[in-house]
Amino acid sequence: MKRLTYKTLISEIQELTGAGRLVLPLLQVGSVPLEACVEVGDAVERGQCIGKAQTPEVASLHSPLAGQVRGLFPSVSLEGTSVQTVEIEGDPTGEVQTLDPIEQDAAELPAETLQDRLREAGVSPLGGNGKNAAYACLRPADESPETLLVLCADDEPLLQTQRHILQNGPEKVIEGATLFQKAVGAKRLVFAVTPNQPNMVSGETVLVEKKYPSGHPEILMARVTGRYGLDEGRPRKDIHVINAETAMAVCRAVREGLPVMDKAVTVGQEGAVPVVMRVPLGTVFSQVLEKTGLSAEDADRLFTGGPLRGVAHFDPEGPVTKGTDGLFLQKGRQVFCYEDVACIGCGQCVKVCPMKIPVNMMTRNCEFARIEEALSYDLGSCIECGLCAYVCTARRPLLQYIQFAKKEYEKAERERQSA
Amino acid sequence: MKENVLTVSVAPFWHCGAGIARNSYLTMAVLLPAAVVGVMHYRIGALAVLGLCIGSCMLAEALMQKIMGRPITLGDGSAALTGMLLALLLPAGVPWWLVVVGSFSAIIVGKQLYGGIGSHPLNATLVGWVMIRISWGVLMDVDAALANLPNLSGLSSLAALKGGYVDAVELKDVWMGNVIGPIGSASLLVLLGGLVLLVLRVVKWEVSVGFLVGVLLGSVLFGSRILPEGIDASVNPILMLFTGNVMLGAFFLATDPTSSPSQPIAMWIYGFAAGLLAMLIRVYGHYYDGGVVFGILLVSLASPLLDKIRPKARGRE
Repeated sequence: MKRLTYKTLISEIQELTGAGRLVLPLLQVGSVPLEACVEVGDAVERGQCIGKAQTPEVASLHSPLAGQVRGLFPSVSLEGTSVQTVEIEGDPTGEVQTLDPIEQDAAELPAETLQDRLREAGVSPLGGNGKNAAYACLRPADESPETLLVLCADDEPLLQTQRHILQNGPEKVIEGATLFQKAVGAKRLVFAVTPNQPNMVSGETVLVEKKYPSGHPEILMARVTGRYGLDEGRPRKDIHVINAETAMAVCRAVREGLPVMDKAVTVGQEGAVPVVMRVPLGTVFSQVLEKTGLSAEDADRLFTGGPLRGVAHFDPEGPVTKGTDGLFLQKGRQVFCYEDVACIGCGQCVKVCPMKIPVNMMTRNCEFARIEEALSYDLGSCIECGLCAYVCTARRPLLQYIQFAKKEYEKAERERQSA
Repeated sequence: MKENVLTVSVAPFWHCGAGIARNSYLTMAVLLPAAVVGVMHYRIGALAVLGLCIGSCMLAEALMQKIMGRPITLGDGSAALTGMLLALLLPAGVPWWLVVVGSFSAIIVGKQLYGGIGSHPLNATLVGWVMIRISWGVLMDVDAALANLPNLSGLSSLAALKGGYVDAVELKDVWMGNVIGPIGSASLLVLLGGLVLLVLRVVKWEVSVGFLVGVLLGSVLFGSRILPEGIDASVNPILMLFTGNVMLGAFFLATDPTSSPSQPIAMWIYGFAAGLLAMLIRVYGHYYDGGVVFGILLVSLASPLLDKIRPKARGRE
């Protein structure tokens, strides 16, 4: 069996500019959509706010180019829901409308000022396809976590985004982490780094080993705090996780007044060396691929995020969002297909599970939404790393069964509460 | 502009490459040397049993799936593997109808009635073997069955031991199958094939190792009692390891994914208990030739229970 490991870094970061047309869904991260504050035909500045947050935990969205709003229409989100989307056309190179830089030292800044600035500048937890609950959003000051964990390693194989960010600006990451620590009121600051970058950060570090899923946020959170906090509902109260890119964005928002307008994305095709690119938000996938000399053809698979927990897209014209960590292409012949067969009980999933779950029994129950039984087989412990489906001899879509059962459980809980 | 039609699926988008069909064919491939030696010994008789077993198992599978309105899954090779394993447990001279009855019992009673692959509580191969062994014991007797074939004399190694002819059984003959026995008697070749599966992680190695430890301990404890009373000799425990299907049992029968447990400690207990039980039955039981088979079958019944022995999942209070 091929071991799943994180590969070492290869390329320099590249800038992608010049996209004259951007598509920006008003749901970039999490599940609460933003409210559009522009209308069709409006002229927008570069860096102007186009989507306002309705709740304090969410950050706003800014236009990465100066131009005109061409459309405001519903599109399909990653979750399959309908979400308002802004289409902008114009000049991507113009001057950026910045906020006033804040010069004060982190220690002297009130947490509220920082939080307001982060919301204003659109600093959301970046990456994880915008749905990773471990990257908690901003939280009220009275819910201060004990620890702030900054992930400078990538959580999945193939991805290089976070390590690149650290490599290309360790001072900014550290500065951002310190500012964010102040904003959420954490007492302890820990950096998760890979063995070849321990000297880039100062302070407390935790080393991420080479073997997947050691970079998984839940695993690292447990290593830092000494316990898994899965049964208590998310996000965890005692620890807050952001990644290096978010820390970088914090630094830029506070010190330079720059809103979040781009995202670092690892782009590649299966079997080829990936590159890391800085891409303006809203750039469509096909343009990003074109820049690296790739193109999606019929029967290919295009996914954002990593190969184990990512999301496949049906539309090559879909946009890069704040959640996009990676963009990968599998050619038709490389695409692996799941099968609808019974579990044969080979036990590979049980062996590989980092959480020691009896995956064979759990997923048999998950498949048919037998929630009580699935919970008794530790569904609540699952961190959705995807290794069970990776090794499944019967090629069952185990991760899908797990996600399905969790959704059914949430639905049942909601109904129970409303009844 | 033409819209591309992309493949969409759930994550993960990678797979390690394992598959039911791959495992079945790999298992059959590593058993091939032992089967070839069997055919070299018993010529057309062994070939006929092998062919008939595999053929009728596949036929039974296809028939049952057709009747039950399920998709026909002969391609995954599991029926063919069941047939091959059953053939290796049978002596070369058994009547053709007995082979067919055994194969049909294995697939229909042992597997398909429970819902097919992944659902059977017992190893299908063993169910088929036990069915015909109990029903037509005389015909299944290795020595009697082989008496029909020309140019053979002597007794099967286990029968020889039970009869007290310790000196008649030599390890080097037993290794290469140069003794009277079922088709898959070349136990050294079976062992090597099994080790290949172990290295490739196709089988549960805990079960295999546990089984061999159980057999070894069993044969040290009461191996010598297999000899009739009054004969003062000792049986080499290594000899007990290589006679009468122990190797097939350790690597190919006890490790049947569906009827064995999956939790680490449970797998050890399961393998060990099956091995120990196999020796007990061989030494004290009436079906001394079926010690391995009955041992595994009996312990399989307990495997759902054994699987309850599991570590506490992480994150669970």
